[in-house]
Amino acid sequence: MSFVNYNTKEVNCKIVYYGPGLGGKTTNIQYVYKKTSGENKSDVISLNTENERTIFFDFLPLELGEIRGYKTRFHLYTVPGQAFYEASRKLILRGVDGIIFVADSQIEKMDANIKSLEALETDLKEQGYDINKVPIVVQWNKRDLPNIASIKDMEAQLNKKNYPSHEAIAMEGVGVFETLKSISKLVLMNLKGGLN
Amino acid sequence: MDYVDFFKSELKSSDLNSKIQKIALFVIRLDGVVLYSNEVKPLDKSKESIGALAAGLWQAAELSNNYLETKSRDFRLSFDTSDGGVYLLPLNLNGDIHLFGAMIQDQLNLGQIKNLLRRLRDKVEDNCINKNESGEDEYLFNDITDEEVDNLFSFVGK
Ligand SMILES: Nc1nc2c(ncn2[C@@H]2O[C@H](COP(=O)(O)OP(=O)(O)O)[C@@H](O)[C@H]2O)c(=O)[nH]1
Ligand SMILES: [Mg+2]
Repeated sequence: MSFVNYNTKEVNCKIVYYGPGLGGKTTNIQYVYKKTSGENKSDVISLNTENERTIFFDFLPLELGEIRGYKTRFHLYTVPGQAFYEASRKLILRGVDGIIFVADSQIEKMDANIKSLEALETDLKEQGYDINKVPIVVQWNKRDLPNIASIKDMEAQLNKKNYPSHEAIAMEGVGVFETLKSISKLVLMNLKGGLN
Repeated sequence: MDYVDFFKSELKSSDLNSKIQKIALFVIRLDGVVLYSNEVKPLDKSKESIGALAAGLWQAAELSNNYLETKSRDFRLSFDTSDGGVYLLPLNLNGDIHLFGAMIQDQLNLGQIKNLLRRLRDKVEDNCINKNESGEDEYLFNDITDEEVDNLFSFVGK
């Protein structure tokens, strides 16, 4: 759950990058980090295996500007994609305000995408969320590769609920901020609190 | 009394006060959000990351412990040497479980410090209410324009 502090006029939101292993979640966060400037810049925290596969999470606190007088801070997390790390993946979803589902566009990854989407639904349910109420946006990543599924196919198989979707080449930064802005808008509009 | 005010006044009178420059204290929600920090430098600058890590640590430890049959109610989590380290305690504010975290350096008697921290935690639980939840059901912001979102991200180097 987001946290609104009326005294200091701050909002904190938690955004989780979810998706199959090697789909590009960590790459998204690293790009955001690279493009962030300012004195408040924090390092990315990565809990990795030796070969840089995410074992627990990556974390990047992001100080944004103000919206209607409220200072805005986003906490970006990625989950480990591999089935093996199911237990730690579930923990990350605790308190989530919005999800970016990073799908791997390569044709042979379609099954992995579908399985991951199903896992997302189960994980959210277990944390007490209604998947229809959590803001979600989808990113079609790795659009630079030759062996990719068409957007039409991906939409048909992975986006039956018509979430906002964005094409991306996370490695080059293409679509990274578009996706993040898209979820930011949904998350902020979903914030409960009432201005009094 | 609000726990933030309570912490401030209690810390002044506690035996911890003389050592507190070397102890960073945090109240952390289980989703990683830091609700309170006593602003010890330079750690305070990294409190967001400390919060995320502490919440992850605690939950991972809790789940690991679930494989055991013996259950205790009063858990503590330590990662320390004889003179300092990380120390986490659950903090129950009206049924909401948060973490009370301490980052400790250069102490001669760490056991004593931990004991003082537990006593402080108990006092907070006995005397404080959790008034940070608004309980409001209305949306904080109504329509947000794309322009407002762009403004939020104006820091991004192009
Ligand atoms: N060709 C291509 N490779 C990418 C892209 N995004 C990420 N990768 C690569 O895919 C691999 C896995 O990315 P990573 O971010 O670690 O995936 P994660 O498991 O979802 O965190 C890395 O080698 C990345 O460099 C992309 O847009 N195009
Ligand atoms: Mg990763």
